[in-house]
Amino acid sequence: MPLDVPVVLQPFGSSSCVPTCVYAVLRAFEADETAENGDTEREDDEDDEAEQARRDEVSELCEETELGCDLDTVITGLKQGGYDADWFPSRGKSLPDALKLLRDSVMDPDDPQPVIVSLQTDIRSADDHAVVVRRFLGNRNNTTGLEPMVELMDPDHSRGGIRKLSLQEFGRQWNFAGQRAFTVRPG
Amino acid sequence: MSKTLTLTAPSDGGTAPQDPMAVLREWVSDPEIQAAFSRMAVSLKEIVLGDSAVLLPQAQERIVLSQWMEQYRGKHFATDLERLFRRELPVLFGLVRPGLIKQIAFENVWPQVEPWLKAIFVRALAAAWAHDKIGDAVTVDQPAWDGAYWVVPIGLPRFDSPLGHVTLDEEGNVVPQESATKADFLRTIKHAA
Repeated sequence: MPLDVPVVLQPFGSSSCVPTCVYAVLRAFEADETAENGDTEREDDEDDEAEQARRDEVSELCEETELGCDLDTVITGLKQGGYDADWFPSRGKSLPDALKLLRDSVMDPDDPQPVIVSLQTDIRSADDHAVVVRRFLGNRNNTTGLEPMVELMDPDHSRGGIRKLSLQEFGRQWNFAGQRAFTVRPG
Repeated sequence: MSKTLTLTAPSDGGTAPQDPMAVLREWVSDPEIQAAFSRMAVSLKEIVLGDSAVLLPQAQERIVLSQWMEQYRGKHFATDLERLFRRELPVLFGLVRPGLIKQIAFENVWPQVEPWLKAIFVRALAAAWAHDKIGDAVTVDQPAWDGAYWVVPIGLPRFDSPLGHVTLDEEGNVVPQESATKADFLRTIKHAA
């Protein structure tokens, strides 16, 4: 069962979507742990201030500047902050191999790991946008005729929320962004 | 098309047979035929942009862009080029054997598409590097070939001019020692402020 990554939108004025994705993934792990411990619902009295403080902490670890976030610094910063962060080993692989790795990680029945990936909608655009891969839907070999889809948590304010892309379109957009991806979880 | 194509020996027997290749070369150099090749190049670019087989090169170590493009051309262009050739030059298509059509098309259309496609790949490779090393909010402009390297300007939306550049070799590999660093960019922004 993949983790249920919540919808978290990036704050207005933020030039980077990466810290928001990191925060959303960490929240998913916490919610999963809470459920495992038998708590039936999340303590909703975690007030806005506390949540904002945690988001600020993540943003600080990601060293967000006017240039946005660079993934080298993000991963190093998160590690230093006590989180388990690393590159996802998709770069340099053929797209089918990289997609298989991604599916195996996100859909792992014993230890699911949402993956933060960079997407680029058009090979000519050179605009980068980070999203969280929540789950894969449908099977490549199914006989239903339904196209396999990838479900994403997109932190962008205008198009954000949970959205789905066909596996083929997702693969293209991910490849255009260099098949860049990383993982994070509580340390 | 105003010319008459003769790819067989004249039947009057009194003159030497024409070299078919020479006739073909003359035909191909005709401005109307060249214009058709240009139209084919434009169509081909549109096809490339919508083609799910166009992917950014990936490599464990060194990217070899020329090899990547060669493979793509071989795998995916032949059918499209033949179809475009048939559409734009139906008379010539009917007169020339298929292997030669492919050769003519590659020689005349591919050179118009190759630099364009290479620049797209180079820009995307530079962008992936810049987003890893500098930041994901940077803008990436069109690459320029300086005779030895690709130079790709990098900036920020609020600045009119680039703040630095990423340098790539001919095959699409970033040359870090010839490229600006994140610290360079931050200094430039601070200085501008």
